[in-house]
Amino acid sequence: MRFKFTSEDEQFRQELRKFLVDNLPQGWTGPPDEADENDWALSLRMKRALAERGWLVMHWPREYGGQAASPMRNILFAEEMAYHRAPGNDRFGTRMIGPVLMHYGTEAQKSKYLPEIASGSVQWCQGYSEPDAGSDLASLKTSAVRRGEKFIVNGAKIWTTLAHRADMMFMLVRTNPNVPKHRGISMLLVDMKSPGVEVRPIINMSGSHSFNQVTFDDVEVPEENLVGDLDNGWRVGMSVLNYERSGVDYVGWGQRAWDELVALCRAETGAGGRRLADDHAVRRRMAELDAELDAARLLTYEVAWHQQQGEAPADVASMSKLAGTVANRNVLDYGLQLLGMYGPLEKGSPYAKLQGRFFKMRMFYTSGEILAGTTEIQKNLIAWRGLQLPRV
Amino acid sequence: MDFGLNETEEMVKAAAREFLSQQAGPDAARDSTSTAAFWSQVCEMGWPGLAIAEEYGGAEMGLTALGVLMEQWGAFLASGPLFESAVLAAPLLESHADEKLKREVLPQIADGSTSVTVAVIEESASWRPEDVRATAVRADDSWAITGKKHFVSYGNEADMIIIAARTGAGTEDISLFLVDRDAEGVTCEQLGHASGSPAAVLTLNEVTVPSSRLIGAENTGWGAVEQMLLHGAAFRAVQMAGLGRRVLEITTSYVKERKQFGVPVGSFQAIQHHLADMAVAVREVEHMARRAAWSLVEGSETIRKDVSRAKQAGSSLIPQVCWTAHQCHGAIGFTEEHDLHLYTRRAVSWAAEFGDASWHADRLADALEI
Repeated sequence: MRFKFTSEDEQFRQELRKFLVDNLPQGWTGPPDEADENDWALSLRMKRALAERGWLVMHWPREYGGQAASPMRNILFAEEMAYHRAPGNDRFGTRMIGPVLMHYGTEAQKSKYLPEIASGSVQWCQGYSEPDAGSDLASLKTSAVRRGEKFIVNGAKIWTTLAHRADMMFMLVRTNPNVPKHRGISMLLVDMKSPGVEVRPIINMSGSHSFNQVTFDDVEVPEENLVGDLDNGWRVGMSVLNYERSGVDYVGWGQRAWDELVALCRAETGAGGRRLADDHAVRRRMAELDAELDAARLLTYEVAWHQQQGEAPADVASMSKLAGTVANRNVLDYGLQLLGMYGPLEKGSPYAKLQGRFFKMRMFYTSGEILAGTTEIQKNLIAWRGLQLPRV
Repeated sequence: MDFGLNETEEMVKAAAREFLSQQAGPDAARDSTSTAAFWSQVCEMGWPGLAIAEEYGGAEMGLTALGVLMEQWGAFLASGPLFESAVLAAPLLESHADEKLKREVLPQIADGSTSVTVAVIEESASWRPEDVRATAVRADDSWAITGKKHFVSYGNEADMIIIAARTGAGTEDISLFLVDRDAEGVTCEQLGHASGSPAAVLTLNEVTVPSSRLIGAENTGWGAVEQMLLHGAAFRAVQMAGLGRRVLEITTSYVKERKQFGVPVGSFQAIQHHLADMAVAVREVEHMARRAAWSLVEGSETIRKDVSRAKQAGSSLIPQVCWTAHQCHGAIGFTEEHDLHLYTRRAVSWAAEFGDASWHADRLADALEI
């Protein structure tokens, strides 16, 4: 047992913090809005700056341009980035398709795509969900039919984050409709500029444009863009989800929101002119939220610790995602309760507090308990994989 | 970060699990006639001295190893004053008693010939120094203690008792004394306690204690109590984690076996989600409790936060784990005959001990400087 980071990791944390202060705009509070051109330009700048420091893919092996950083170092990195609401931590490239290609990709795929990801010059997006395939992802219908040396892709993907900014998509497609649903899926890499790819924005309930619907109309994909074996895409595709399901981002975001609330409680007076920080009920609830964040944080660290031993226990990743999203949500909920009538005042209003971002964040993070497997799906996975309860 | 157990801890865990699964558990918990024989076996294995330094007759395996043992102790509903002697009394004496007293008492605790419990709180059930009303008055080379101590676990069974008594006018002018249970003037009122663990009210009527049994210097006892409270809260959380893990195991097996509508009830999503919630809660409390014990060993600067986080979480989550287990068991889990309530009784009782969830949330708020 050892419940602290090594001094080298702590030193890295200090370096990273300094880097963030130096590279983020002064007074940056985020969160970044990917639809905003300034924020997107910042995101690209940050990504390149991280790449220059070797941090963008530090968890990758050295042969692919990484620093072979430990999973623990990597989670510390992700947590700090989230805490600072820093854009540029390219999760689709560095945390999802990159590791998948290292494991399943051909030599040609590795040498073509990995350096682009490592240098921060290419944006990826993830084409999994479809209008009729959400939690039951394996029922996906977008088809890829082989014609000569190409696949012809037809269908639609939805909730595709950053598709409007992406150069490439890794997607799951049905390549065999005549076998049980999990066994007829393949993974393809698709150039978003291919003829027949159309991206339509979907505005989310927080008012911003982060995800999209993407349609495919006879899109030609070269056969060398198949990742792993034909019809083995379910396994390939699911291997990314343990990365996606580490809840550390949510803990980082939640901790930042918690810190902002404490500052608010110290500064603001409520009814009768009393500071919120002197209100017993407020203090108690804030402490409970601290403990909840802390519990979720320990679970995310446990995931990294398992990865360090070369293990990938899916149930712990699910626990970590579940606990992180719920803790973050609870902090935001309580924040809105404390802000009361001021919570809904939007950015730009002279009376808005915390630039109105708690309301916006609460709206936005509604997605946290839905994406990458809903809270209910995580509970199913914990029950099935962790406790071996029967699936019916 | 390392969530694994080291070799010693793994060894302790395996030994504890093997022994306790056979010699403790629900049947033993229901049968008070077996307690004495069980306790002597525990002492033969040297468990009370597991974390006591070698020079005082202990095995010096450390508090994290003791934590691993206490997880299993909680999981198997074991009886006997191990928590009182090994977690509360021994570390307190080791840190605060003078050399002579340590050499006299610690080896006896280590070999099990003497068990020691602690009596600090009174009728207010409060851990604030101003609520310690018992007094000790000096007369030549001894002290006379008068007062009433509540919630003394194993107060009737222990050989010695560490008693907190007021020795001055200042709020924290409190001293600690090591008192023989059978000293003249000590009377004991045994209380019925729903947890199944014995508790007593001790009345002290001008109990004479030699000065050599003053632990540490006069009027410095409250610091030692604060430290002991950290141990008590951290290790109760550790026990709750072990108990929660066991309740999860029992419930998981049950829902796989119990069939309704022709299928195991554990195949229903409503039940699966209950079990998933339990699994998350147990794992969280495990991590937080182990870290609290680790922080005590390391003397980490985050001790107070870590202990309060662990006990706040343990006290709020583990009883909930038990209640959910009852829901998953249906009517059979509501019976006296079924063992589940034995766990629930302990979980709910432990939730209140050494500070409940709210009390620790308040302490945490202070430590976080909100």
